[in-house]
Amino acid sequence: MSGIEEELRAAFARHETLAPPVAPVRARIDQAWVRAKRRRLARRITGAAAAVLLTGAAVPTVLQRWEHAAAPTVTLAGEAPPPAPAGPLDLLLLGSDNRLRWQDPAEQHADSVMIVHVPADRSRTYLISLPRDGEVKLPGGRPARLTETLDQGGPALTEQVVSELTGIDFDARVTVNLRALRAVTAAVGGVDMCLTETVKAQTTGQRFPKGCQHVGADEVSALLQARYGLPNGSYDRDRIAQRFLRSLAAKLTADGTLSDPARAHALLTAARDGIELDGPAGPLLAAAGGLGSAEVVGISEPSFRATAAGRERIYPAVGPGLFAAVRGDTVQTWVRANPRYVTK
Amino acid sequence: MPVTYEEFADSRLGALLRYAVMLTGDPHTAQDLVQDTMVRVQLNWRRVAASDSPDGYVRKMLTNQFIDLRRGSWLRRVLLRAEPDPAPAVPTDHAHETAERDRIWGMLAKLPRRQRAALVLRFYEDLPDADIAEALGCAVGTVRSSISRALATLRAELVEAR
Repeated sequence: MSGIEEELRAAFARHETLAPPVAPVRARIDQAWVRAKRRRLARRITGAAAAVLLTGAAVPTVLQRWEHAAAPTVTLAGEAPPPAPAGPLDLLLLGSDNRLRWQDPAEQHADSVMIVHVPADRSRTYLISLPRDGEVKLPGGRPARLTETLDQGGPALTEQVVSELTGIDFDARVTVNLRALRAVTAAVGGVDMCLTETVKAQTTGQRFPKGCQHVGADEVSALLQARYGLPNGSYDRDRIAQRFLRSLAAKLTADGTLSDPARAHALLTAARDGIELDGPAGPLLAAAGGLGSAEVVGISEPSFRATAAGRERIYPAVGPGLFAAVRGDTVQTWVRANPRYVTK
Repeated sequence: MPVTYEEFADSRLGALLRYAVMLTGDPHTAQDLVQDTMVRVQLNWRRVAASDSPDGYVRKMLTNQFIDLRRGSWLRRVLLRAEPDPAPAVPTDHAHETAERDRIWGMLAKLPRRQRAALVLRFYEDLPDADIAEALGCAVGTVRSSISRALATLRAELVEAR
């Protein structure tokens, strides 16, 4: 009775040696995954557009290449609503400085680098700021400041470096300049935002008092550029940018701009010169309405953390856990455990 | 702390490849089966990681893929493979002695896939009936009858061959 069972066990055990070695299989799986992911990107980009729009930064100007200044193809009427995207979305948001010429990549600095994470349940949008002067490794191993990657290799290099650092594969990359933010702000009639300390703009000399206030389109650039004189320099500036995007998102969702195609269209038209979304898909804004009430949560390093050599480091204490939480879609749990890093 | 896909692959890929070899009887087919399954595992990683047993979930995915192989694309790719991989060393010593013993291995190929999977889960993976039922998506009673029917088939063929 047990004879055949024993023979079976023995036959299985003998043939274990047929199993292929793990490493080459692992490599082939990774290659197949990249291909599968690329196919999926086309479907998910719609969700990306929605998430980006929520952060006040969406003109899906579809660019095939960084230098290529394509005309935006915004078509809204008559298009069937896209299927609701599933799964979490990770975008890389690059805010670049418009004191420099937008068209010349060699003059760009990534003055603000944020990971935008929208969890699968769409309950929130997380903005994770990376310090602009934080040290990163360029391909080849040479160290550089994060802000330098944009003029050394364009947004693609910045994305590559951030992916390398964090292990996050981005669904899309969005590059925004201040002019576009000004246009969006003008289109919504200004935003109401709160500051935790008084900010003095070094470009215009304007004072933004501590507390809540109305910020008009003409003031946005000055406020978002302010860095000197703040207790934590660019770290505080990153938090101001997060608060601004949060206020903008609140305004956009509260007044129904996102769910009104005509107004969304006007908004996108206003901002279209300054925002670029990489990726293959056309703009399908219907999905943006689904994100209407999501809460925006900012995450940032409280202050400067340097190496012994004086180089600035990116989330030296919590980075691995934070980035793993993004990859595993458990940022909410991470935030609860690390309230110190959450922007008020 | 939820397990990441990388951690899962690092710790489980070897075992999955062995399991796939037992199911398919052939390293190339096993490799394609595992590759296809693991791409789908990554696509659905959040659901896999959130399940009570990621291990069991993936085993179920792989088993289903094996049983339903005509519906999947991977068999076509197996048949149309462009570049054959270097085959791992198959033990050739004692070939004569093992020929008799390996008759049972050859017979497994003739069993219905579901029955073969049940045998592998029981006699290679050493799983209890309930886990086998879970992997095959059937009732515990069906598992028992599949296994006894498969064993009866093997027994009859062995008797005939000897």
